[in-house]
Amino acid sequence: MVPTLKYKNTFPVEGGNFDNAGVISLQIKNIIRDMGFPDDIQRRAAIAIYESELNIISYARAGNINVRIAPHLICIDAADEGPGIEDIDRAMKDGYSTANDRIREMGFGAGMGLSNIKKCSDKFEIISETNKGTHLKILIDIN
Amino acid sequence: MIVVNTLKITNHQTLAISGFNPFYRIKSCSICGKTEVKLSKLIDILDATIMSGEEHLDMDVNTAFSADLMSDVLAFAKPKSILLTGLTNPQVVRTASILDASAIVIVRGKIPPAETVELAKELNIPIVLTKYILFETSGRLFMNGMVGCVEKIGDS
Amino acid sequence: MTLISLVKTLNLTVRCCKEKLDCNVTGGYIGDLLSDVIANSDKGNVWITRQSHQNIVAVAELKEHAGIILVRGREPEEETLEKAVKAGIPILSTALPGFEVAGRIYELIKR
Repeated sequence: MVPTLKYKNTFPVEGGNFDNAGVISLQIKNIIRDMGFPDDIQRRAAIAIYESELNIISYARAGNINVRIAPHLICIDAADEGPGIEDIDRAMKDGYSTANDRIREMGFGAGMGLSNIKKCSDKFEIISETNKGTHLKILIDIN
Repeated sequence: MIVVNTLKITNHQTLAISGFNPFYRIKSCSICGKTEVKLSKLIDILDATIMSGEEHLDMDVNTAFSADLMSDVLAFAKPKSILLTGLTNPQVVRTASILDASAIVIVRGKIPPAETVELAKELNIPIVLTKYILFETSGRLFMNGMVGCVEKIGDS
Repeated sequence: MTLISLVKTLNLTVRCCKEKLDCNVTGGYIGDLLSDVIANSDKGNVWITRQSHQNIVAVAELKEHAGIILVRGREPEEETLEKAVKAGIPILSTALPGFEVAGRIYELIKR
């Protein structure tokens, strides 16, 4: 059975623009809070979206974050046009990063992002093609 | 001072301290919130000034997280911790808000840009400024009974 | 206070340069941004960080740090260890977070 959607929206993310990093995550966190989901769910969703946002901003030209919320499920799809991930297993390892100095000086790019998304989600899938882009599929189960 | 590795507090959560350390001490339960440190006391301890969120001076601050890597903060900080950092960009405020951190302490006498302070006011997060380096800041708060976000690697 | 007393009290794991642990520690510095550590740390400091990249060795060597403590379970990369051995900079590690490590060292210094 397809669950009834309570909320659905797609947010465009511009590559390289750090000024607004986190804005989408906070917006969605507020929406989830207003829907009455528990603190832990709000936090997990917000962190997963924030890390996805940061990935697009840090590495891709552009991307979209699609959020769908059903009564017992939050689905996040972050798809970008970018370099893709060459070695997904390696990218999942804590501490591995291809971030440049600019990203690092801002306190990001320490190679924690993908594993942190995994930690926050109940189901996490990475689909990536080199020189084309990356698609992160994140599922948070409310039960 | 209580010198034990595991501290049982009646009616409160048991705190299991990882690793051996004869000098470990806790003045209060970090989980139930019965702590002696309030934001106003933290400001005293750090000879600090408050830039936003003056209405929160009476808030309890139990746990602290020291880092310049927001990636680390995102992965390990617990809700209601205070974030001690040398970074001043607006991303620090957004990160704190996403994590439900209760306050940000900016160390080493750095003055945050106006946009950071504006955002903190908007998101209702106190920003505290201290001239001490991160080591001294952490040390002073630790000596006053605050604890770190103790979470073993691999837990989730 | 010597580095070896820190290792014993905080139960740190010694990753390299066991023979260099009798040096004196003048204080601590926590930082994850190399530029900050270069600008603000002092000679003889023990540097507490989550960075494990090989560049940390050059920074510690330049600033004549007593040693580097990697916190929250971070392990040094192979290249980092090789460079540290060459430079004679002890690398220590612990599962504890930076706040706790700094707090405990601070307490030892002030005692």
